[in-house]
Amino acid sequence: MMKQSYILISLFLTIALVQASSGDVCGVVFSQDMLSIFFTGVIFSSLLISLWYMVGKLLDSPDIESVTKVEIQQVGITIVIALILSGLLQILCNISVSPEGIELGQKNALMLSTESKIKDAMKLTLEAYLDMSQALFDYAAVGSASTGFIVYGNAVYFSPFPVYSFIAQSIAPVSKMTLFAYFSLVFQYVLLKIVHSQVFLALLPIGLTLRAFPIVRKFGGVLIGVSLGMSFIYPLIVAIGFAAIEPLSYKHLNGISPMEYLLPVGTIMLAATLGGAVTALGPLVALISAITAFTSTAAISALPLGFDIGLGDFVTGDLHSLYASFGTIMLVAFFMPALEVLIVSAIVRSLSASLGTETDISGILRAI
Amino acid sequence: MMDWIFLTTSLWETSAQTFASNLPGEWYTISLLVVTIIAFALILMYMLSKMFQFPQLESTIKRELFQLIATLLMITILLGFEKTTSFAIASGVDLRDMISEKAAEQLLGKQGYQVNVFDASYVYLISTTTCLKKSFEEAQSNEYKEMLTRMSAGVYVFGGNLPLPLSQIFLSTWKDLMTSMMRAEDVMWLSIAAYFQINLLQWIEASMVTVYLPIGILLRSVPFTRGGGAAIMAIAISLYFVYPFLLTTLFFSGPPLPKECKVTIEVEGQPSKTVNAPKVCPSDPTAIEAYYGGESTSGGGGEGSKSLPTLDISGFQVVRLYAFFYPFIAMVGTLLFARSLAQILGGNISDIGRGMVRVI
Repeated sequence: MMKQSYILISLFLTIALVQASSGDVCGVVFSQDMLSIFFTGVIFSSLLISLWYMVGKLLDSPDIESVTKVEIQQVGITIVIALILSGLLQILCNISVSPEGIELGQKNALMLSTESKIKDAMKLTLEAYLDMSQALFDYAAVGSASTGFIVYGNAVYFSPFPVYSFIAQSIAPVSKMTLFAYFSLVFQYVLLKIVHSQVFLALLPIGLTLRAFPIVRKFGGVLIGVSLGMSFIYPLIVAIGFAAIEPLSYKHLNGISPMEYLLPVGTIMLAATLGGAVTALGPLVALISAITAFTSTAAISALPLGFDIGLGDFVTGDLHSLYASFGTIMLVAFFMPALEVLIVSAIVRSLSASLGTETDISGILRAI
Repeated sequence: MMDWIFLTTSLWETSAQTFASNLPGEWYTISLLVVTIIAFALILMYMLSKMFQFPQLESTIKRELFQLIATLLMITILLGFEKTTSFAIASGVDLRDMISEKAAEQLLGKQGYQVNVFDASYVYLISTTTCLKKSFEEAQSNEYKEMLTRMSAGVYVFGGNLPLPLSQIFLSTWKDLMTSMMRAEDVMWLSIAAYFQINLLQWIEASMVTVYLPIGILLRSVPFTRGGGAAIMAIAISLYFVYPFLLTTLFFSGPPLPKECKVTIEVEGQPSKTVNAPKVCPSDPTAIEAYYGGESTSGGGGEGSKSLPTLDISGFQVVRLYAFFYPFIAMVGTLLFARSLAQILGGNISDIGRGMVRVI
């Protein structure tokens, strides 16, 4: 018994030294208030168990005595868990993950770096969405434009660039999905904010406190597992995922700029339209035949140009760059989070099973 | 206990000496480093348990050492699996004939091109995207018909303008136009699927065994997080070893990609290189079709007049297989494998996965 006490006191002193040198861990967890709550809970629980032990002695019940011995051991284990966690979280809070590796950074580096990674991904996705929307509007506008000419009362109107409405239709669903991907990333960001909130972080010391009491020991274990998994392991797994993907696939996110291709087309369209307007005033102008010829030539000359730009590798290559970008977005916004949730859920379940009782993850998911 | 430690050390040394000459990557070294750190931690704890006479801790450490030896054996098996699949692919198809070192650098953005399941998958997927680009261009080439359908005209007759029913005249062009538009939409989703596969494979190749596997080994060595560690290990192993292997196997055994999918790579100072994946597995469905008469089945006559319910997996359908169905089947197979492996390693992800699918 003396040996265990010695180890416990040594551990406590070590952690107290670490705490004294570097302040509180992650702002809230193991702050002065939380430590007070925890130790009050532990002392109160010990008193209750001692009282129960006395009752056992009084009633001369060996069953009660043995149960209280186990319970007091559990209180000791809870204190050890608290000590180990305070040291572990001190490290876990202050590491930063980058493509170069994991390093000990500034205070709360893990939370800050993970949030900034998700914010970067959100920014890139939103930029991609805005690019796509802009492209969609540009292509649709030019694609739906029509021109025509009237020669001695005979009129012909046509759309010289139908290919652009075709391209617009190919962009529209991707643009919509990119918006969903953005929402998915926003959800992750909000989730990260929630698990870093003071209320959520306080679940860890509360869980530790509850674990000291026999009746709510299992619930306390679940709270410890959930808060540890969500507040610390989840950001770590997200940061690792982003660190691995950052140098690889973000290079695809170049965006598209259709206007540089559409500008010359637009100029010819404008010339054709102006020509058409002048033609309408034809009877008043002496050069009617010359203008008509110009208008017709401008409109017809726009045709092969439109096909040339529309059908070449130019736009197709651009579209495939867009599809490649969306492939990356899908990985970051849908596949990686699913995998991360799977991993974190498995860790939470094994942690809570070891500390109290197994968390019913499938039940929670069913409820969602 | 000392015997076990000696055995573990000997196993490391033997494995390291066997594979040191031709290591497939850095993952093996990283995993070994993690195993060594855990071994040292266990040895330290064993000393403590002896010093303070904790028999429970002693027996726990013994159990953990067994787990560590099992992890070491698993790493060795995985290394062997990786080498074997590489040999199998190298003997089945010479990728260096299909894609040069420089071209690989240009296409895949990687140096030190090797014959392995990842690179074989990249070649097939890049060929698929090329094919999809061509399909899109074909679909796009029908777009002049949209101009016809949207054209309107009027004729000046007896002082009035008589509209011509052009949309009725060009009514037949609508069908072609709609077909082209549907094809373009198909191409869009398949292109996204193909590019997603390329990105996914790049991510798996870069991170699974170099980052996630060591983390999994580390977490699995702690009894509190054994389940989580097992899940990470199972996912990392399945995605790195099983997924590309299944994908390559399906690519090799499926019908061949159309000839239009050949990628011509212009590399400065080298003649242009044509990339296409040749067939290795003789499971070409057209061979059966030829036996039954091929094209003449509907026409009747001769040996090939027997009726055969044929599944049309040629042309664009093959591209659909390569871009979507094969990766989907490979992913389902991989997840099934991951579930079983997680259970073997001491974790359970089946109900979490089921719940997640339900949520999605």
